[in-house]
Amino acid sequence: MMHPAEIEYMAENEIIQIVPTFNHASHVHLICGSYGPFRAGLPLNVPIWVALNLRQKKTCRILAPDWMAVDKLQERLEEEKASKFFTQLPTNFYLEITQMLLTVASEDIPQGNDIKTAVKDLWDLRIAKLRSSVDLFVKEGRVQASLNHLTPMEINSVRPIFPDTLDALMTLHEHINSSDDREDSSQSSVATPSSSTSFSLSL
Amino acid sequence: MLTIMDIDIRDLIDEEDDDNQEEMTAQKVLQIVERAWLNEKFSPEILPHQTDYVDCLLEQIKGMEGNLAKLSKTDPKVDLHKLELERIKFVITSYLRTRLKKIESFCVRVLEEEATRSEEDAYLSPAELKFAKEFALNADNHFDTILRHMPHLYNKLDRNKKIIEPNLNSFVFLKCNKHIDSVIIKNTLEGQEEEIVLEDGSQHLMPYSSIAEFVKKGTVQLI
Amino acid sequence: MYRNIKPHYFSIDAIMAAQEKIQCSFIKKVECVDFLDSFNPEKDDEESDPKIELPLWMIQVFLAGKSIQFDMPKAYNEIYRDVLTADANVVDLFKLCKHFYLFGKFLSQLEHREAYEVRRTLIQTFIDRFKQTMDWAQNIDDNLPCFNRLDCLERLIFNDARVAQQHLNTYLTEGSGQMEIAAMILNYRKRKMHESRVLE
Repeated sequence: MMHPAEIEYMAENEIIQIVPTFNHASHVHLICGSYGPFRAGLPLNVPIWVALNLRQKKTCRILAPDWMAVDKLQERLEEEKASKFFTQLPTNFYLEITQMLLTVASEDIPQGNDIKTAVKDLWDLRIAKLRSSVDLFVKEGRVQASLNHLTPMEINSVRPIFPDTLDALMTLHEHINSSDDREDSSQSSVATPSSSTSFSLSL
Repeated sequence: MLTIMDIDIRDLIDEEDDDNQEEMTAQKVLQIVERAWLNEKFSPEILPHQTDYVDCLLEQIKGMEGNLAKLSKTDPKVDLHKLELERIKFVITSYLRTRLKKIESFCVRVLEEEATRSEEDAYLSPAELKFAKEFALNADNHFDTILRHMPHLYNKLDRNKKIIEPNLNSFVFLKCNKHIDSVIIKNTLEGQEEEIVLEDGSQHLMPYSSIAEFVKKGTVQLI
Repeated sequence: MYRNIKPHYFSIDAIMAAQEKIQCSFIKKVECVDFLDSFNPEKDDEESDPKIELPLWMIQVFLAGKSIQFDMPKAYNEIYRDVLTADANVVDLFKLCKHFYLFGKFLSQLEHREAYEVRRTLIQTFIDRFKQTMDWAQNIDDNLPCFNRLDCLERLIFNDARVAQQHLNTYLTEGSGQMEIAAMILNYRKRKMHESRVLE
């Protein structure tokens, strides 16, 4: 369905700040937008994939986003613990951005290990919340849920088991109590299973 | 000089939506294709094609590759442009492959539905339509070859049996881009209907059939 | 393969489930069953023989002619329904019936006084076992013993969930870029080793 790397791809489109170590007066006109000018020592905004590429070539330093600090993340964590619902995070891609920046630019980010731990705690807490709501949703037999503030990677963590389970459950419910069934089975006079009596998730 | 100017494809827009006077930039086109990619990945059925936008990006890529060939290899821009092209190509190929997979899975049904649509409302691009027709023909030939050896009563596969359809009631995750007053959700469990309001920016889980039309209109994004 | 697909003619699981045997007895004389005669050498027996086992798809045909009646197979009778209602999580569903849900759904669509209860049990069993299936798929490393107790539908869901979970775990521990580099280096080393061996 969706590979974590594909979600990371989306995260790479997010904008962050870098401080270049080179000078390039003109803008770079990318399809996704124009960025520049690059002046040594002067911060500017670029998509993460640009930042990572320049950082790998050691031509810039990456500035950690505001939220990527141990105390800020601790606050988020406390807020998340206190809330019954999912809290709104400063970015939709907190896990991926942390992962990418700490992999490529760990020297640029103070307290990298503590940040990693805090982000992991936040992720674990939210995933645990998500799993128990998923379980409740299935038990209560609901057909609609509000998922505000869940990030794509979090949503993907319950895919495909969650939607597939619901689909299977709905198929089990199909035609229950209805007379369609009998019509269905009486039509199948040919000695093969009729398609109307089969069942989803069958491929 | 290397310029990837914001291209103007207002012609496209005018045909579809007269109110939309916004200038179409390459950036905007890229966003549209990225969204179409996600929608296509998560929607059980094949969605209306976005060939105009895909072709537009392909043109851009071609132009850019031409320009890059002229630049010196040491220019710091070259790497970034190349990387961006690879990223865009990845999305386009993933998008097109997802569609091909659906065409192969649901070939008979897709062709039947396509036959009821006018050219402007077509879901398949001309190339996809050609592919679908050939695929269906090959499948038919294949069945005929094998079934020829079966007893008289069983040597034909009737049309209904060949049909494989997407389950439009599959559950999908979505984000609402615009306030929607009323969405009807059929509750299969209780045989009832629920009506809900989708707030701008809200995220939900529900059966695809409830919001299919909004996905096609672009007011709902699958996630 | 795509998962969001409606039931269809080519479904192997559906064909397998429709092959499951059911105990039944004829309530009126059936004639002209042609090649079915091989199952019952003497046609007259069909009326007198109290119980025979026939696959589900065949029973559908006879039910349409109102010439047969059947007993709910063991896995779906009242005793097992009670066991499943008490605690569905302890049951080895695969042992009970490989296609527990699919075959069960087919059964519940047939004309039978317990059809409704059977269907309710299927739904409740599926719901009750969901959390366990999800937990197993997402947590346990060595999951074979529990996997064996899942029916075919649960196995499909479990396997998909498992693959997705492994992707996520790899991503969480190694990231996507790292993974590729690691694979590349590994291949490179293998090639190097191979080359040096060729040279020796």
